[in-house]
Amino acid sequence: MMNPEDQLNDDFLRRLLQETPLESPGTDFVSRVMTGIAPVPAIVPAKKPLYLDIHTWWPYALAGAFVVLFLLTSDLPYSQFIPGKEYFSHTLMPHFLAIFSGLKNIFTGSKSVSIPLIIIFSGAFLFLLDRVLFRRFTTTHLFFF
Amino acid sequence: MRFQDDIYYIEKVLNGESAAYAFLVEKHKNLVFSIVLKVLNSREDAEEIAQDVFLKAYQSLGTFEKKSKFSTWLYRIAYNAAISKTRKKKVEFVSMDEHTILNYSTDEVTGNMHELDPEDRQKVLARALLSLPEEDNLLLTLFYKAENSIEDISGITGLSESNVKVKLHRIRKKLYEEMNSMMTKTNN
Repeated sequence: MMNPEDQLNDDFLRRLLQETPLESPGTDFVSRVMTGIAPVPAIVPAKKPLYLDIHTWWPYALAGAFVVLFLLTSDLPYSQFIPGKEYFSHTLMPHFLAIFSGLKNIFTGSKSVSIPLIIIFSGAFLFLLDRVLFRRFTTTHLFFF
Repeated sequence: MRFQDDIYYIEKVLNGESAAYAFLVEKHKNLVFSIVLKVLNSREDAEEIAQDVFLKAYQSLGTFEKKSKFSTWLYRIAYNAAISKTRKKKVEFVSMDEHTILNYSTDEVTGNMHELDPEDRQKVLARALLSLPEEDNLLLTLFYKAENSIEDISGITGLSESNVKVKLHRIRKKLYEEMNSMMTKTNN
């Protein structure tokens, strides 16, 4: 006796139903739809933080394993980052000061250069921050930029 | 006309080439229209709703998750739009009496149908289909005509996979019953 799954695979009924074509709308249907979408603004893919797109556990596990592997095998003196404010004030601060002083020189050098520079610099910084934190880096985004 | 995979056109549309959407409309218009027509039973309404379905799909294309099939996603929009239009409630699950004893075999009906010429066969089928509710017609179209899988039909209609199977069994039996009674009447 045929099981219920096999009964559904009824070739006779399938062929019989396929002898009649599907119903089709009017001949100008496609052009009517295309006219309808013309005034609609361009579609922008939904913004989604990357972590919302990852529905499985393994990318997180892989990333975690990579970090652990990096820490265990790296020659970088990352333990020196622990010393706290002394490390910050003696090692990092001079670098920051050098960067700020350089930027200050650029921005205060001449009014005609510094204002556009500030705008470009701030815009680029915010854009990159947005891309890195909240969006996927795709060729489309690069193209628009 | 030969079409590329849906995803090819979707990428183009999402990259600003909205004209590529015409290929998607051309490719899926008949099944979308058939789904809506089966539910609404009015060509005029079906044209209007099918058009709305494609507009809605275009506007939401950015939210389409490429992991699923575009056709299933689109047909689900069509099914929901048609149901909303009629404000029909989903037909409740009707359990099938597994012990129903039929006084004919499907082989018998198939044999009798084969004896008919194609035109008469289509007439019998068309009349038998008319006797079925719209939702049953829709499931037959999706499964046998458009060759969607049980999983896809479940995604389109929102029914569970087991429910789709049970319904298809019931509809298939009912259709054979109708075709049998029509042929018996004709012979008598």
